Amino acid sequence: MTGNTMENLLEVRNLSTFFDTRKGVLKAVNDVSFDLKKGEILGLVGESGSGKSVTALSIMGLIDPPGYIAEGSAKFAGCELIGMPEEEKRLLRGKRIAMIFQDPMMSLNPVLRIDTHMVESITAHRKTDRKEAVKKAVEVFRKVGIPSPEKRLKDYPHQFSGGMRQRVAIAISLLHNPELIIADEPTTALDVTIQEQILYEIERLSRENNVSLIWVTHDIAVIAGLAHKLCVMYAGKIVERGTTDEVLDNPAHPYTKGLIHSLPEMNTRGKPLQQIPGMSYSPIDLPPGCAFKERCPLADISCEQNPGVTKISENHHVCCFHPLM
Amino acid sequence: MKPDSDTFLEISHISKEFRKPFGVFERIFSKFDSGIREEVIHAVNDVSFALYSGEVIGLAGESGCGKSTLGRIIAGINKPTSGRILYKGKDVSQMNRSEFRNYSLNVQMIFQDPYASLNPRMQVREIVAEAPRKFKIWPGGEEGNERLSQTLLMSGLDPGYADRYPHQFSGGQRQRIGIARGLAVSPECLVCDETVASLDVSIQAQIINLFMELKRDLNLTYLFISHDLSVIEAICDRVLIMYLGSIVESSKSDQLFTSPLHPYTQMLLNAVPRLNRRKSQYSPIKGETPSPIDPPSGCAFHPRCPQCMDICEREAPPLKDTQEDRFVACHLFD
Repeated sequence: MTGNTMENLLEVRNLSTFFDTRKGVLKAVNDVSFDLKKGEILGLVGESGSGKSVTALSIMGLIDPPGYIAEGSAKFAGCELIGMPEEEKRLLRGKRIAMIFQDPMMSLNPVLRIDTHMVESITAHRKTDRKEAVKKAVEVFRKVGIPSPEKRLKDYPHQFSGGMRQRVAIAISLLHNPELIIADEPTTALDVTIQEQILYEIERLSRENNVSLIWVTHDIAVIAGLAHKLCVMYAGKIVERGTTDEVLDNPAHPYTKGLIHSLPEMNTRGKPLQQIPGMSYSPIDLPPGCAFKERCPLADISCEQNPGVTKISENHHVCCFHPLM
Repeated sequence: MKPDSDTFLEISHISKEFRKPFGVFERIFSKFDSGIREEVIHAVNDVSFALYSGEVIGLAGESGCGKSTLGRIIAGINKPTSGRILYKGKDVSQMNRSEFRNYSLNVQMIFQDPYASLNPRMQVREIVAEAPRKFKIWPGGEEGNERLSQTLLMSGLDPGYADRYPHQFSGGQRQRIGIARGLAVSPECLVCDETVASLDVSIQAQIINLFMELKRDLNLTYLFISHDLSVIEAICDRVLIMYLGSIVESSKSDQLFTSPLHPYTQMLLNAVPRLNRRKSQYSPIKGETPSPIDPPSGCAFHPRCPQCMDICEREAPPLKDTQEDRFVACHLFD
């Protein structure tokens, strides 16, 4: 572990985010708890609809009606984020907690030049003149490896390629030396070679600046080398959490195991791939008990109850009645 | 690569250019010899290969390398600028209407985005049965409905869903509808363009298994286009690696994944994240894919190549046979 202090930077406890829909209450995030230490990288893994993005947005305080945080707490460096007044949240967001989104074309304004974006985010948190702000912008551009930064700052978002645009988004998130960066599928739209470049930059920045990182992804292989610990989400719940090596080498939840074994690389060519049968429930009216039971090879009558947390080892926990050992 | 009896398709020297039409001002200025040149995108550049019956060929490369364009040309959706396609020994451009129809029905394409490729206003029954009814492959009435049920079952869909609309299905099921539509005309070959890219890992495995079952049961030939090398490794017999419109390496799957020859293939394989090879040290890769409007001189890969030599900047290497059935376009193997 890289943490300098053993103190938790972020403590999420029993977080639940629901959406009121015409068909009923959609429980996108359901009783989620985890910790993050300083300098640590957490991988939040799950398939589409598992609630991983909503967890990230809830921490950022970006849930709009009909969504609401039903209960739980998220403490960032001792401050409670849930229920914090909007003005105070605004002082945190972008300054101490930054977010990187999946599609930087959507998160950058297409009619503003990049330097306008940068100067705007700097002056939002710091009293400074434009000249100083541009200097800072050039500095972070250099940090994320964008060539000829002075020239590129004058460009519009569409003049950047996908990988470069994602670097711009990362650069903007670094403007105020945040303590926590939440990245929501930042490399999903990119080619593997560009993804490798971004992973390289992120790993370096996190190590050098001791920044904590939450990396939300559906691809367990991307995060395998980067994250110190993993949380696997299924139907709004964290079903397994632990250090990356423990979770990947000895998955305890049947879903985690199924997810790992359905990766093409885990199978021999010519043989059918191992697959998880069926598909996940709609998060509206989830049945009682374990949400995975219909697809689980080990399910029995006890799975009609809600599984509690079973401790596998000091840093490895699973929500299952039949943990694999 | 000589055509023989079981060559299904032979692609020889296919190129495709896209031209950006001139605007009003450019048209006026071009009259005065002002040096305005038309922008030409060389999407596919002199590509040749053969597809044998019952084979699964993988086509891999970064975005913008022309793999989808090549797939669309093979499926008969786009016409190549130059070069020819031989379908069972017959030149496609010389075919008459009924021969061409036969060809394009036999080579079906399955698209990437299961949301954009299905008409939201059509029921599953209409989507799947449209082509076979139009071309009188299926009989009408009760017997036609029977064929529809069979096709849906084959694709792993409940025939009871035939009256539903696409929005009532999940991503994986929609992809199955797309597959059923392709299978409805009893094709011999499927061109799958990033068919599993947008699916979750567990659903992706289900669809790949479906493809492999169909290959076994119907003796299908596949051209499988994907940027995901781990998917290609799992299912393909032979792999073509494309870079900026050209094939840079072509070989059997086992050989390519155990000992890649071209520096680009090596770089690509190295960048694939894997659970078995967890790394905490990532290497920065030089540069990005250059633009196909203004490709670099010589070997298109030379600005990013770690083993670039003088000759690479001047001459483009041809695709040549290095060892048995391994083709590579690189000056290192001269």
